Amino acid sequence: MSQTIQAAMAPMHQDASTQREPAPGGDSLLEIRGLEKRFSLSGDFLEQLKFRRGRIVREQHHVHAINGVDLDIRRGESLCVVGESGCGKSTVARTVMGLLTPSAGEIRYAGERIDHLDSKALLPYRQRMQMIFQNPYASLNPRMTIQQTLEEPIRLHHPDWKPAQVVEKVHEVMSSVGIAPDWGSRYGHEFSGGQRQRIAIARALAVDPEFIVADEPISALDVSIQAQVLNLLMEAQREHHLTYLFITHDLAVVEHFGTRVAVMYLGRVCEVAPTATLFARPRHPYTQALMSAIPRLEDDRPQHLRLQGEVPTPVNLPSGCVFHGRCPHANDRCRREIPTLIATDDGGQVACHGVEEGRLT
Amino acid sequence: MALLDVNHLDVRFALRQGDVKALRDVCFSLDRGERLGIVGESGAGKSVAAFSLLNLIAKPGYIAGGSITFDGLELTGLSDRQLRKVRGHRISMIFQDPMMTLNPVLSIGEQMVECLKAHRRISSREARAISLRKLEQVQIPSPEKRLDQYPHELSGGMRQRIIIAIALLLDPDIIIADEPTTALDVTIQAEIMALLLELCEKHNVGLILITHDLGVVSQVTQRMLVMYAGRVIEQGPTREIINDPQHPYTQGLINALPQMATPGERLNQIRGSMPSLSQLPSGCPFHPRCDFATRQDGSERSRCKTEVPAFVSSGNCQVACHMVAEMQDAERIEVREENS
Amino acid sequence: MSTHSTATSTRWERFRDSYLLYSFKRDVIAQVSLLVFVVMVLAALLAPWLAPANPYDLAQIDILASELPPFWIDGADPQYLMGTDSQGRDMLSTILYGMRVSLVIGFGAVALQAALGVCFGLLAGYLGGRVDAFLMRLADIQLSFSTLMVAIVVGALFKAIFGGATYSDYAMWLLVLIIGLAEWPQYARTVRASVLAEKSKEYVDAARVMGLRSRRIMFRHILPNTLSPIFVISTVQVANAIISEAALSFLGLGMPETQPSLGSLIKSGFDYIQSGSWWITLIPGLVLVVLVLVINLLGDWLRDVLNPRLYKG
Repeated sequence: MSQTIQAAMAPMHQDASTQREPAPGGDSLLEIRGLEKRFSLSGDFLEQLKFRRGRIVREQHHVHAINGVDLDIRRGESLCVVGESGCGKSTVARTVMGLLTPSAGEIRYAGERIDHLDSKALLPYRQRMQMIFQNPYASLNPRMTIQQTLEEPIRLHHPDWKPAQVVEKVHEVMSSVGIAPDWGSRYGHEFSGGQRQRIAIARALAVDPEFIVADEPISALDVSIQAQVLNLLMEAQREHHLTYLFITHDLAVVEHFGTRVAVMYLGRVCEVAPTATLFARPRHPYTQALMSAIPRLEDDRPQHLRLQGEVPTPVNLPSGCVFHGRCPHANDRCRREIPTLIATDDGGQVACHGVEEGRLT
Repeated sequence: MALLDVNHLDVRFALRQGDVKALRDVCFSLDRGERLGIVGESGAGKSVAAFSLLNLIAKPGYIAGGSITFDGLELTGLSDRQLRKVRGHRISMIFQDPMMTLNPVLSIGEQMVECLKAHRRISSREARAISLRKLEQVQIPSPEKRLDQYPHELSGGMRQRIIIAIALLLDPDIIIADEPTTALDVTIQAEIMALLLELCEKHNVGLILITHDLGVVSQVTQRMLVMYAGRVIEQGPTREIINDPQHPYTQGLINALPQMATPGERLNQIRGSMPSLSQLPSGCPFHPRCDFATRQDGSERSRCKTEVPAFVSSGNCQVACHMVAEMQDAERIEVREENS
Repeated sequence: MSTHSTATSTRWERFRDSYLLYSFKRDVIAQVSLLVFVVMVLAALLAPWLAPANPYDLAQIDILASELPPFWIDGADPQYLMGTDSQGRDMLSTILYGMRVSLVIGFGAVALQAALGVCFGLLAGYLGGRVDAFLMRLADIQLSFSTLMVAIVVGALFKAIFGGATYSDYAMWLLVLIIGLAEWPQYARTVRASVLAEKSKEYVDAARVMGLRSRRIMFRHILPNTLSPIFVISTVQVANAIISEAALSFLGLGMPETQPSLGSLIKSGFDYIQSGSWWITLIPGLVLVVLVLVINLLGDWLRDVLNPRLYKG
């Protein structure tokens, strides 16, 4: 998969729109190592003080949104992160974009550490990394016209450009996403959801980024519009040699869009594999359950694997494998020991004791 | 005669720009124990259709014409008091957001008992026993404990199970479920859908399932309606429509699904977007987005622009499309020519 | 929500089609209130031209013509339509000038409150954490000092340092300062609440991802989206500021009698109610009530219109 896409992209590297060096296939654009993010539930310092057994103690409770995520995103690929709500996939996206500071771990972009950079040092990366959000009704400032919305990032990152150049660039990105440039003086609310998402994509493309984080970009849209936006994202990838980190809960979209897939559960990655491999042979029990739950058009009767119970809260994480409480194959080791990602023979990685021991195929 | 019969239903919203026609000429029926899916994108009018069945459309909406007959009883002209006997009792509803139905300050048990006592003359103890039985039916772990819990103490999937238990409380004939699993995760969604299907079959309850998810409809329902811009454009047995859709919109909707395309290739998109109900195109509401209406050997098909298509039968399905009608006419002529 | 194929609408066209204008046309109370308010503001602004006499000009005052009743009562002098006060000043002129003072203080104080409150509210809401905790505690402390306390302390300090004569000269601006300082927390709290709501929206994240500075995000992106509640609270605050000023003046902590505001007019007439000259207090009192009432009615209407939960046309 990844070879075919890169092969298709190869002749386009001469394209004048980007001057970047074509990257050798397979190297990592973004590396995430041991990433953790906790959110405090206990409020400020005064609210954390509790009176227990005759003395004052400081108590803190945390939501463990992500704990120990390792991921590599290769140049030119679309890495899809899937999982159910609360699995931490959006937190990964927001931490990568610097909207959240990680509690622990490292994020490297093209070899350079970018977590903990201050906003000034981060500015060059802001041009290379952009983000598309879930809700097109909230991601455009309601008090700004489309022209203003699109000009802002260009002006910020190219302060030396002349006004005419900026306007020209705005018109260029607008037409590239299929919005007529003479609609620039309108406000966001005058557009439909699909058109707004196009504008949000145009805003991300306006600074010629090389890496785009898309956080559930189509889940707020109607089916017929989803197809339009997905097509647009794939076109943009071909034209601008983009790398995507694509967050979604929809496995059907992943199968179509992703080069590789990472499945997350309760703040941990349980399986990473090339898309075709994962769909042909899901290894992790959670991935198997997730895949069997997709409502398909073909079968009359859902034959899904039933999981016991529900996702535990990320406040008190289960010991050992986070999935053991719902896993039909869990044993004592799963309850005790946290599994790490191990490479499988078909090019993927899976974090499961059962697979490692050969109990599960 | 069908249990529920909807004929030429018109629903309008009186706004300051004038009346907006939210539903036009909607006809369908539901037999006892039958499961019907209503499919459409947002703005298609599928929720309005469901809400208008029990006259639950909020102002400024109103039923402007047509009839809704339930078990021989005409519902459109009924007063609120008369309707309440049907509502929740013989026809119950499940909403997308469980918190719309659950009162956050009452325990689950109190709400179920209250609902039972409002419709039946029974003691609290009996009501509690029935409630417990219903909770067991929806396979909630430790149902006894749940009766004394409050909605916020339960997870989303659990709440939706309780909503189903409440919907079944009075042994209704029909359950109307409006996007019952949209807010839930895939794995929970699959469980809830399976449960709903199982219960409807077991108790011979009719189901009207409103959803935008073709996958869910194809797994749960026997017949389906496809709605577009306030009109029904295609209806028939679910399998037939999914396997061989006739209307260009239904075709587009199914073909746009990522699972219908080769991975990495372009998806088959429908161009444009759903028109707003206040600015509906003339003729067939789908014609500005329809390939058939604008691109047929170069010429534009004026009939699609001027004339609202009537339903034609195609197999067991009914389709509102000029193209299907014309193709059938052409076939008929061919057959006649061959015969003569 | 669809796009129209017509050419882009201008600002005026948007206003013409807006819900604001639509609801205004349907609301008689709002129309009457606006009319009365505009007339009062114009009358106050044009006081030097409209008023028959200048109450600040001691040369025009005739002490012999004091306590004359308004025109509909026996013994009135047609020269003084609304009668005269205890010093022989023409009531109508004094009220027009007094209204001007009251309005200036009202709007000035609200401008100051808004400037302080909006900045503090934006900072507290956007930056959060310790800044938020500090500013909000500061607001709590400020609120626990009543306007009266602030006025006593500031007024006493000023008088002690600069003397009574200077105080009279700067009384109006001092009152703006006092009322502005005392009531900024209302603004800060309202703004903070709406900033918190706006901050969680994705357009703010988009601006951060773009690399914009906090200051630009706060003022260019968030502030314009919190204007509706600011407008609503402003109307209420203008009314409150006018009442505060009147109360302070009535207690002798506000405008001196030589430059009367509505409040000090009421005060100066208060001593004469017993002797039968009720109009000296009652007429300015009535003007004050009407002024505050129409502002509050306009504020109510604006709140209904701008309330996003009601605003769905």
